[in-house]
Amino acid sequence: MVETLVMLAAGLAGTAFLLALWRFVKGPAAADRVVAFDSLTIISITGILLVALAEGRGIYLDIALIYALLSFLGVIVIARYLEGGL
Amino acid sequence: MEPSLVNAFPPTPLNLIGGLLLVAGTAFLLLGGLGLVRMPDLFNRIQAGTKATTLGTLLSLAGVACLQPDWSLKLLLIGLFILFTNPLSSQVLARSAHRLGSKQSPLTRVDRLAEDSGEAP
Amino acid sequence: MSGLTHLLALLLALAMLGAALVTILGRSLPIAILASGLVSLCASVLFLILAAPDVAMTEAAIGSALTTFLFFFILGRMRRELPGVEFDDDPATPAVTAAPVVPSASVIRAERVERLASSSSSSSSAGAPAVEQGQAPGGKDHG
Repeated sequence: MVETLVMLAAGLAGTAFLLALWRFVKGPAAADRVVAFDSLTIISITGILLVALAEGRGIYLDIALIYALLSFLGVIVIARYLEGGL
Repeated sequence: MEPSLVNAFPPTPLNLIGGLLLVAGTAFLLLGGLGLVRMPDLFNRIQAGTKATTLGTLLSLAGVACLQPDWSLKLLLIGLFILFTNPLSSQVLARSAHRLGSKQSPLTRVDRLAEDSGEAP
Repeated sequence: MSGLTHLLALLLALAMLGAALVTILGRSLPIAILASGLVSLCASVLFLILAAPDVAMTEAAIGSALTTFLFFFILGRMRRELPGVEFDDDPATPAVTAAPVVPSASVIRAERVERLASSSSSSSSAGAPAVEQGQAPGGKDHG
């Protein structure tokens, strides 16, 4: 029962990943791709959570923590570059 | 190599709540991805791609915390990071795009940033 | 390894292929850098699925973060010091020079012009010819 719900969650997260990836490939401007990149990072945090659940290993959450930090820094650096201030 | 998910989570009420929270969170992620594809201009995409995914990730973190109560501290830390940094990064990106004169949807009625900086609305 | 991780691994491999194609086929340098960062992200989650959390952590910190930041810092510096070369061929991306005049951007640009003028007048004997020679083939390619 719970396992079915976890599998359903993985399917939904995978579909969300594919949709954001489509925006990344298609996105007309660079800023669109930056938004898609940010969303992809956050969706992959949930993917890491699901993998940690499936394997039952709590140490995998450290990588999710690193990504939670890095998406912020990356978006700020890229926004500064696009503004012309880097 | 058999699926480790089988029999890992007995259907206790807490585990059921956790699974449902997980599905709700990923459904919000899916809605965010759908908005990212369907929205007409950059600012709407930023809104869909940031707000919906923030809520979705927080709900998923709550679901995992219900399923594995031992990981609660680390999950809380991840949730706090996402809650603080995600709106900030989206705001920085939106301000940069506005400054570069990114194209707006013709349905846009209000542009407070342009009014505040004295440009034509 | 369960069905869930198999599904996620297949999806990530597909995403890596797509991002690598964007990196190769795209015409804009910042977008290529972003796409290579996406390849690193997918590779990191894939390492995690293959039960190597330390490799995944290193890939996340070095490949996805440090390399991307370094590329963007260097690209910004090259844009500052070689004003004639255009790195972003994508017509959909608004160029910085064509942006509407706002105070901060114009101030930054004026500072850059001043710094360029002072540096070229002071060190024109050594630095300028080498820079011009190095930049000529790249300019032809882009034009």
